[in-house]
Amino acid sequence: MMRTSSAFASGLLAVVLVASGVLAAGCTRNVLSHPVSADVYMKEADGEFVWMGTTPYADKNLVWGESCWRVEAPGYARSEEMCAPGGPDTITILYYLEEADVRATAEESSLDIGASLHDARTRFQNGDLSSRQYRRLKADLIWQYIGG
Amino acid sequence: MLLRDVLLVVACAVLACACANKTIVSGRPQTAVEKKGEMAIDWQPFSCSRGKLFDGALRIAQRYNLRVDTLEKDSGFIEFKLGQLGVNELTLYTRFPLVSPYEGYALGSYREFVEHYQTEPTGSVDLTFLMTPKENGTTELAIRSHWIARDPGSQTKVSSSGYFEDQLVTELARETGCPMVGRWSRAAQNKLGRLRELGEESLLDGDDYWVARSALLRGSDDED
Repeated sequence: MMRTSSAFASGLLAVVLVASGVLAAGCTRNVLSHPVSADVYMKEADGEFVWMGTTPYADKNLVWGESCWRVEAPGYARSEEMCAPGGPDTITILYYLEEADVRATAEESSLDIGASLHDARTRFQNGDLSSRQYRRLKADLIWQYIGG
Repeated sequence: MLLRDVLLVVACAVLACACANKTIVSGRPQTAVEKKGEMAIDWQPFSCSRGKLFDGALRIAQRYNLRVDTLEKDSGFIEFKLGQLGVNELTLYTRFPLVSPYEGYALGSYREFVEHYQTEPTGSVDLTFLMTPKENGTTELAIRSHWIARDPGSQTKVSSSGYFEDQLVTELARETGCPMVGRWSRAAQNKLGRLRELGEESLLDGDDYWVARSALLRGSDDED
């Protein structure tokens, strides 16, 4: 019923609950997380992830195609991508996020910050990154560069 | 179009999109608000007398072309003004006023504003230094700053990135030979220096600096 795009990261757990569309109140996709207030992203087939809101998140839609979901919270490792099939079921995804290790790694010291930031800006200007993604990527690169 | 009006229109447009997309699966219900101007407050203990620090601050002011509005040496109080900030200074010294309400990241930049609206904002800052001697022989420096961005016909308060204040404090320590104690660890000071190097190379803007600075400050507090 559900699949992930890759193996789970250690310490990360997602639980998926599927209810019958007959019994459920509607075709709802619920996304819950620990901690709460994580950003919820969704993409449809051949689409790109778009920000939908924050957890606890619930969205009813008359026609649900296959949709993939992930969540992000500051200070926590990004969740794996979870894809839910289309159809009338009510599906709830629970994410337990692992705290991120923000320590600098050895490879970070060799970061070419100028080229990396330029590349990030190019991706943003080409529309490959949203404003939010661009800001976050820049922050990550800068943080790595200064050995934060 | 005025800077304030443009920000308002963009914010309303984003809010309208958020409402319209509520029932659309692929919608992006994102809202934006104009962040009100904030007063940046910072403080830093220096291991030297107030008089020495005061004289050093005046030399720094001259170096940066800061206009001295008020001077009270007995109370360690100085008011400065810098009234000729261009886009480059605003970009580095302040945070762009249109921000995401959820995480506070900037939705645009001054340079993008110039590119889109063909009008170049200017700005100014009012700085207040208050130096207070402590019993242990150190002097505590408190800085307050008020930043304004303007375009022809309007002005808006903007938040400080902390870049300029940090630069002044670092220069002051160097100028007076008085090491900074507490507040920032030596490691954090080094990292701040690396951040400013990126700023000098125009590789980061005020929002980038503020985010990294805030994270460093939290880490420095943890070390304490």
